[in-house]
Amino acid sequence: MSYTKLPVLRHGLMVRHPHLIPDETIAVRNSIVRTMMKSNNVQALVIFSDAIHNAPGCYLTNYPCYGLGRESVTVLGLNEGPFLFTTEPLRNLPKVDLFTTCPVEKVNPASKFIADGCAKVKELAGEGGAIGLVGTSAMPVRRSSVVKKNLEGRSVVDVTAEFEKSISSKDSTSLKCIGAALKRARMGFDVMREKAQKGDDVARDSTQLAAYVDYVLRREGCEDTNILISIATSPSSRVGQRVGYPDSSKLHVGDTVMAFVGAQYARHWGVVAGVFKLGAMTDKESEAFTVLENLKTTLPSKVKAGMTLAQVRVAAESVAKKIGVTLVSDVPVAEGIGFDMDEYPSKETDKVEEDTVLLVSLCSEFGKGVGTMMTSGMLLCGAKGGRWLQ
Amino acid sequence: MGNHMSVPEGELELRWKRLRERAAAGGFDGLLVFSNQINQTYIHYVANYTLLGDRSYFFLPLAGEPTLLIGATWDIQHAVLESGLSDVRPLTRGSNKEIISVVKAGTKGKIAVAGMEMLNEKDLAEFKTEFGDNFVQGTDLLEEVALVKTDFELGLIRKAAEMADAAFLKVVETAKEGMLDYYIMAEIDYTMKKMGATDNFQMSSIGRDSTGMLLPYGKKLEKGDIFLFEMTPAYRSVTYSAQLCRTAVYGELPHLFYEKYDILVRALEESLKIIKPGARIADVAKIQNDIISKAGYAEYCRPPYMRSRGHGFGLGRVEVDDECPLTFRKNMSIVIHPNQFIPETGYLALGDHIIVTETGFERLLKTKPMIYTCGGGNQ
Repeated sequence: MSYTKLPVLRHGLMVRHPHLIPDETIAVRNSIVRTMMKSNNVQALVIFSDAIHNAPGCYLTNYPCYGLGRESVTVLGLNEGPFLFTTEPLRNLPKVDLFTTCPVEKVNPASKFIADGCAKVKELAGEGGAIGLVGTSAMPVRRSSVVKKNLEGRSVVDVTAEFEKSISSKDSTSLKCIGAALKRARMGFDVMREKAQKGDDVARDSTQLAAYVDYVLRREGCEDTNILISIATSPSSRVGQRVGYPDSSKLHVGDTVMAFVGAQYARHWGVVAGVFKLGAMTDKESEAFTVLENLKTTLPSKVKAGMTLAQVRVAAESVAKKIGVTLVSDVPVAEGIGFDMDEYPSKETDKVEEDTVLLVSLCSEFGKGVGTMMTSGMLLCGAKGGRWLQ
Repeated sequence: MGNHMSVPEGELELRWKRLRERAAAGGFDGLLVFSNQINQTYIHYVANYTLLGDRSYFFLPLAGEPTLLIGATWDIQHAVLESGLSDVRPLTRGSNKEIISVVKAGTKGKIAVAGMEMLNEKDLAEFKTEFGDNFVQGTDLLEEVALVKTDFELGLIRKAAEMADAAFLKVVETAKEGMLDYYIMAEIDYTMKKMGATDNFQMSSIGRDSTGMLLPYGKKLEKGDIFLFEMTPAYRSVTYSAQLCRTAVYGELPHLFYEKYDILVRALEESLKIIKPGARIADVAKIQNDIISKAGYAEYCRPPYMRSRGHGFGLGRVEVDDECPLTFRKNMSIVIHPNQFIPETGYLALGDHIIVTETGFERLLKTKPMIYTCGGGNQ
């Protein structure tokens, strides 16, 4: 459930956050990637990022690909770089250093940033050196064809999987940023619940309520928000309830609200999602809610680094079964989250690394009287189990 | 759950009719549309579905019912409600088997593929293996049909223009010394979103000697600061955006700024005069560049200072520059903006959103083309 609507341009506060993301961290990350390059016999790396897959370039440069540029190429040599090639309009060059730790080597027209990045990687790799590619397989063909053309005749290795795995283990800097983002997401969710339960004017319909939460979070310095909400009025509409884009549905006492509040801060995402009632819960509803919360308490000890996402789902389903609950099949139980809303591990076969953060969504149907209940959390995975980030 | 984002009866059918006619004329036997999160406008146009999840396909045969396939399985119920389509199916993650099967059942002929350039190499290769040379780039087909808006679409754009006006006036009313730039952006977004905006392409500059518009970076508002805005609320889809480009000041400005701004106002008004169906779009850019050049700023009418003098949004995008080969057509939606860098003042912003009518154009924004003063006196 983590992949939500991407805005045309994220335009919240966009700064480097040096107190959270020191330059030293970026230097360490570059060394980690260089070690990975050496073990893959790669002399230089060319990394494609865009507004969906921001993580790879951002990890090495702190540059947010979701600003005006929305795409970038990062080039890293064994001893030089990173070099950043963005699609920022030329006139923005003087201010690009507000976002990135990396001196902007070149700023090119959109059609040339890949070609220039490729020229740089060829230079760094030397004549016979192998070039590593990151992110190119997910690139749209209009972009990947430019990479192909510009690296024709060179020895290239796709190291996307190794790269993604290595950055899915979150360093202490990323964990601090995720914590700051999660704190804001929690604030957004709490504000939403409080305003809705009080019947405040900003909660007269789902669009107004989402707009208000977005407003609060932007004033908290969020780079972006992702707010999904649904209102179930009748008992029958509670069955199969899922979050969705705000659609101006009115809120009434007795309604069930399902909400997903994502907050992006200092390049990282935090998410809080769940269900609350406008008015008192019935005994059956409270019971269902408690059952899911109990599942949430038990789950961390069952999720360990080294498991695949499919195994995480099986573990969650097994715990759920023991307490008499069936998880719905259409909502992913766990997906990687951090720089991007949906990052490695994301496929069933992807392995959870140590210090990976998973967005866990536990969603179950409790029949006509209660409907759907959902709870969520951000789980930091370790070798012996996980722990919920607070 | 509500269904407040649906379209009136017949609206999608009208778009499909136009698409089918255009596809048949091009020798195609069906239209396949692909969207991902980078460009959601294609799917929204053909299916009225706000894309959640990573991707979506829509197949429109020349006859018979279309099919929508979505990546986020959990969003099926919402997709059915919003689109009103009877055939909505989930896609398996990382696989194209469902869409391949739908297309195979729908046609044996040539398929126009809108959004083909956004597919990744692996997916494109899979489609090429299945359909060979019948799998043909068709984005232009969709762009061409969407260039001319339906009455319903024009209504959405007019609503977006109301949002832009309201957000700009909110800034003019509420700006105060020490206010952070991202607080100002939050006010803008909140004003728009309360009115139903679903997105906002928002650039701004707050300060002095601006060379262009950027994103907020924590600047505090000071006396004498100039606000430059490109506010672009979208209503339902980016295709239904309206853009407001305006300049405002907090405090006072030297008379020179008003003098220079008048050049932009003249460029805007003179260029608007020629707009009607059949007029050349390039002439709008030429008129603006000519007026600004004669005022002594010819070298600043080119990149990197200036790129185009206007454009459309989302689907049916045109660039208003002096090389544009197109002519205006009734029901086109375009922003016309003589935004300009002037060395003595820095960048100045001015632009109005228009719809081309039968005999001329409709100006959507109600705020006047002038430098606004925060706190009042804007007559």
